[in-house]
Amino acid sequence: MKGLILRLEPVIWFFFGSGFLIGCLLFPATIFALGIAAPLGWVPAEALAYDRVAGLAASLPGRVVLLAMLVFPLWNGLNHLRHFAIDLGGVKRDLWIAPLCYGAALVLSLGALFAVVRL
Amino acid sequence: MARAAHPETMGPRRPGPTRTAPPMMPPKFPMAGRYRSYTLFGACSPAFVISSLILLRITWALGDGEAAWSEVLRDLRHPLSLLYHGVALVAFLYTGWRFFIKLFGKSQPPRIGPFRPPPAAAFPPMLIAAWVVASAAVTAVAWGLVL
Amino acid sequence: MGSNGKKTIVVTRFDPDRDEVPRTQSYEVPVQSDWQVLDALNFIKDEIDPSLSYRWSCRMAVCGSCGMMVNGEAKLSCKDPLSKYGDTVEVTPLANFPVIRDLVVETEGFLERVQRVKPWIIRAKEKAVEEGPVRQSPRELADFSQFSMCINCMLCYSACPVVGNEPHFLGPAAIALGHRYNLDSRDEGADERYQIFREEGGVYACTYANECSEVCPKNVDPAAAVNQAKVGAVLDWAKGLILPRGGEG
Repeated sequence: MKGLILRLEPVIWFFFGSGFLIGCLLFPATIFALGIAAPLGWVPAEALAYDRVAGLAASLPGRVVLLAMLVFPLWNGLNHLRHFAIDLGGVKRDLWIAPLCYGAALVLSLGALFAVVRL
Repeated sequence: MARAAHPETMGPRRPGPTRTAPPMMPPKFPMAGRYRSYTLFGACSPAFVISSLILLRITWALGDGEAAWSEVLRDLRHPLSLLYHGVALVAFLYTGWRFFIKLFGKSQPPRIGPFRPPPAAAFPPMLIAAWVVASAAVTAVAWGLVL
Repeated sequence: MGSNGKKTIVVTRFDPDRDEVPRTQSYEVPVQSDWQVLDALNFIKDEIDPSLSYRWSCRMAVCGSCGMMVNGEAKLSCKDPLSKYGDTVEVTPLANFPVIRDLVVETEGFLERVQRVKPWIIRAKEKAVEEGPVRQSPRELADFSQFSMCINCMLCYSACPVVGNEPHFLGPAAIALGHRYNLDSRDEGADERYQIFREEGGVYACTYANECSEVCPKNVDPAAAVNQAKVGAVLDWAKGLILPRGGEG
């Protein structure tokens, strides 16, 4: 398992870096709009109507953006969390933390792909 | 007092002739001096995971239909959700600040094959401009001003 | 060059024959206003306690021997004015290194790492002398010159949290040195070094704390080198997928 992770490290790092870029560029406004403004009623109701939002999400650009926003920040967060755990607790527990983080990232990425395809 | 480093840290492959005292971690790590901002940067990583999972749930609900979407909107109004999103917004902004201003520019090699990326100092303004454009676009779409 | 009163220098002592663990010893030192931390240690050695052990040589931030932790920060003690500290100054051996005696650390592990990155120019085929020199433009020189300024003082290793947690990590100075050769227009050995960079404890172990660059006394910016090397190692890896290298099994 350790050898496999080591071989995949370049691509994991590429996903990690892309996750920073995509996460930092797109998430602040998304979080503000959907997580803060919408629940507080600052966003017009017609903008949040199911048909409009589902239509936007299901368009080709919508699907591509959603998939990128789902997959890359996920790998970023889980890879960062793995290294944060090494920083605070040493490398010993990495034997199970690394497979757990990357396993979760892989399963959730497949879930994200499925969620975007079935839109 | 600093905590001990990994016992094999920076040791020789074969032990030397004399007994050595074990290596210690940098004394200010993890929360004193400049390490604090680095540790906070690491502590922001759960926001990336949790916000991706929330977005996954939203996407899933959009695929399920109108009832599931209404349920998502209702859940987003929960005070704990609002609290989380307030904290997550700060975490993303802090990560973005450190990544865009401090880290990204100088990570670009002076040349990639025959190509030469812009100088390191050009990246922070470029990334901030990209962030402003991206945020404006997301806001405009979310408020129904476009599309 | 007036006297600046007295300062208490608290020094870590460790005698492998007598001490189970390192201890501290305090010395009252009458300091001069222009003294560096090293001057205080030299005063202790010459006037108070000749048994104190530490490394130093050039006294002008070139030889890289006198690195130590001063009030918890990795410093070249010859380039660290005492005047900026209070009445008590704590001097300990470089963090992240086994301690041989007092302020003297084991450097063998560092030297092994430096050799691992093949810090020399690798050519596929050596040019014959009659063909003249391998030319390099000023711009090509500028690509790597910053990364060639390292004096091997090991301060960057002392500041890096990954070095202390991950015993295989190549570390900032060694990776910066390897990267310096990868960027050298005369070199053709980048493939070999990127392979080393992708091994356990290679460039991807770095978490970009950036502390190596903060403490570097020569502004080498090893964190930039390590993270540029990550980009290079990804591209080299992708190249290997598209164009499998001949003769590599």
